[in-house]
Amino acid sequence: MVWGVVGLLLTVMILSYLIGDNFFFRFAAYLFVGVTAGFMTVLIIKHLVWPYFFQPLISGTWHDRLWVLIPLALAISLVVSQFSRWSVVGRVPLAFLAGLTAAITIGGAVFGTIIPQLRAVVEAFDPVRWYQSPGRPWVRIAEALVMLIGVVGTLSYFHFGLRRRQDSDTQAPERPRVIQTLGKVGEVFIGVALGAVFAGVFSTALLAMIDRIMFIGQFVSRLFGGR
Amino acid sequence: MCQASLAGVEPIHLTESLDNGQDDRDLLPQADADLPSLLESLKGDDDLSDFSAHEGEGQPSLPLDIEALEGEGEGEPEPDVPEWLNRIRQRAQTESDSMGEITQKITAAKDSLGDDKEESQRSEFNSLIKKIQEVDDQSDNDHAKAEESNESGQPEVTDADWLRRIRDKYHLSPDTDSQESLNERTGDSLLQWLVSLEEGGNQIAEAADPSKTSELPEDTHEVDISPAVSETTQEIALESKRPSKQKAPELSVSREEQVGADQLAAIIIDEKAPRPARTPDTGFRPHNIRFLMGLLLTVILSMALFLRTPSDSLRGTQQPNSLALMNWAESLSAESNLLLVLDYQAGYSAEIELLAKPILMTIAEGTREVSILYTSPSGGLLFHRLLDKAGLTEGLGVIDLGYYPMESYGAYGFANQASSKWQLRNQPEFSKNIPTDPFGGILILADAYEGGVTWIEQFSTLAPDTPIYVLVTAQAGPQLTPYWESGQIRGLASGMPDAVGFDNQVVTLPSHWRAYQAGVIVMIIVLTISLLFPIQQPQQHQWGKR
Repeated sequence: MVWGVVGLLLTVMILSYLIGDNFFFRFAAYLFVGVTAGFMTVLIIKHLVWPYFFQPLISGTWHDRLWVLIPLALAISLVVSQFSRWSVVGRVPLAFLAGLTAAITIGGAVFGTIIPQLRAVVEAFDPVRWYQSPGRPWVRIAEALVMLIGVVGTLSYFHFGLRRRQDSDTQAPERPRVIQTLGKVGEVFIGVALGAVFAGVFSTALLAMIDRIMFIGQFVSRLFGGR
Repeated sequence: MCQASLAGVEPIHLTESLDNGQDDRDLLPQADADLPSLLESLKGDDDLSDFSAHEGEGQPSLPLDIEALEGEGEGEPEPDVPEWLNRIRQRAQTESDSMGEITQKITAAKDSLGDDKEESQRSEFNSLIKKIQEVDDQSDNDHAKAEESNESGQPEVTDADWLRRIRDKYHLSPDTDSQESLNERTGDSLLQWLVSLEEGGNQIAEAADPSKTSELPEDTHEVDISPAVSETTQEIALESKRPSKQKAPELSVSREEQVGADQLAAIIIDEKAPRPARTPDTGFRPHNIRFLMGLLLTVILSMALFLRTPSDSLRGTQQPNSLALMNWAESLSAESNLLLVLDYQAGYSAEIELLAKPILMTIAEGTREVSILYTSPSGGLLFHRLLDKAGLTEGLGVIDLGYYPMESYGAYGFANQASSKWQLRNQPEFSKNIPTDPFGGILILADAYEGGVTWIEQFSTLAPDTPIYVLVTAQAGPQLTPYWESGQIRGLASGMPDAVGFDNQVVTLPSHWRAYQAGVIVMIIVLTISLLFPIQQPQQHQWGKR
């Protein structure tokens, strides 16, 4: 009951933003931020720092302790780098983190998105798939064509190369006409994709609002003896 | 010790003339009684009293000679002189030595010089008096002009009291025509020098005044200085000093540069052009629109949620992607090693729970245990709440692998661990918490595209044999659909329509679905109206007018 009242008050505070920025909205927002920060700190200590750092250091074998020295050295470097005199030391862990993140992200994007997606576009023109997949073959062919036009058009839209005209040196260089035409087609696909994303965002927000209104209605119903 | 003789040195009696009680000004000779009134005014001046006193004795007026005063008390005993000094003086008069002779000669020469000087100073004084009389006559003519200028009330620049008294006495004004008066007042008397100095000062003050300077002709090349001042100064010819006007070189402007200059000039003119004052916008403001839209949506959703209709039946359709997910959940066996990745925030838990509840209930029918890890801080809490809502707190065992702050590292580590053919021989004990056996399937619950695609990329690359199933919110569904089309994920469910398709027996879904439909219809209407009748922002409105 108590937490229900708290939840109701916080929900109303957040919804009060409809009448503009006010104290109650800011109070609820700051409360959420503060609670999240505190909770995250406890979570990191419980799930990361204690089991992967302090516990091996205290009760682990010498082999485990030697392993812990690596993150310990990197952590100390980061802390020491906060002093301007030793700021150079912090470059080592930061470079390590940046390099590792770039490697994982780029590797995943190339081998997990670009290559598989290109392969999927090419395989969409496989006649075997047209006839073995459920549905009519001409629908599959149409889907493959639309997919190809969409891919080429979208890539053409983001092609910003310019070509200088050979007949006139004074006129500004411009994009080739083929690229311009395909770029216009790509605009349509980009617009449809962004429209779908917007519809999805609105749908998610609408469901969140429905959930809050349902919560308030059920709480009030329970408060006054309803079911 | 000084051996100089004091012969010829006579005591000075300054107090006699001052103590006799008679006004020295009465000693003026009768011949000088008709002196110009200037000297009469000087009589009243305390600073010049000595001057008048010695003038009456026939002494030169300026400079005041102290030797003239020394002669007055010659031969008389001096009461204040000490005895030893008198003895020295008497001895110096009676005895003659070499030094005494020299001193006497010097004294004699000085006396003769004093006589010559006396005569020349007397003649100078007479000429001064004569010139002052001439100036007096001239000043009577300028009296009318001076009074007019005084009445005009123009302030003087520097007016000392003594100078003002002189000017008042002679009815002189600094505003009179200085050029004319100074041309006529030739001479080197003190009065003229003072007057010319004062008027020269006025001219300097006028030159420093920019308002008066602007009245000067532009082509003035030399400073016009009055003759009186020019006696002590030189005429400055500015023409030779000023730099000559150089002819500006002609600009060579191309056509493009001229066009650019014209555009710049047009912009400047346009900026300076008068425009009507900005009127306050009385129309709808975004704040009001937001409030009205929120109120409208709240009312409609409340009505759709809480007003019961006779038929609460719900029939949804399942898409192939969501159907594949449900089929996989139904096919799991009791020994299946299943990993649940929780990557969603509490705000999206309502939609995720609508989707995940029927799936989890289906999984719990075949599997006894699942492993979970979460990349959002509240992931663990949200999963237990999900189990609570699905009524699976007792029926499904949960292995908590913990919190992984960075999903890219976590996904890479898990995928690499699951697919690696070789293991570190001496890896630390704590790293063995990560299961090394390949998972029978991975179910990703994400609220955004970024969270889901990281796991898809890593597992589809490093562990392509591990089946991936994704359960995301509606905002991430359209962006993850290509991964379903490419076969990288085996099943995908997103949004309210797929939740309705999973199970239409859940009690809360009909009202949710009805409210969802009402909200979508409202938004479609609002978007259509806003497209037909756009509400312009005030700033855009002004810009459009321009």
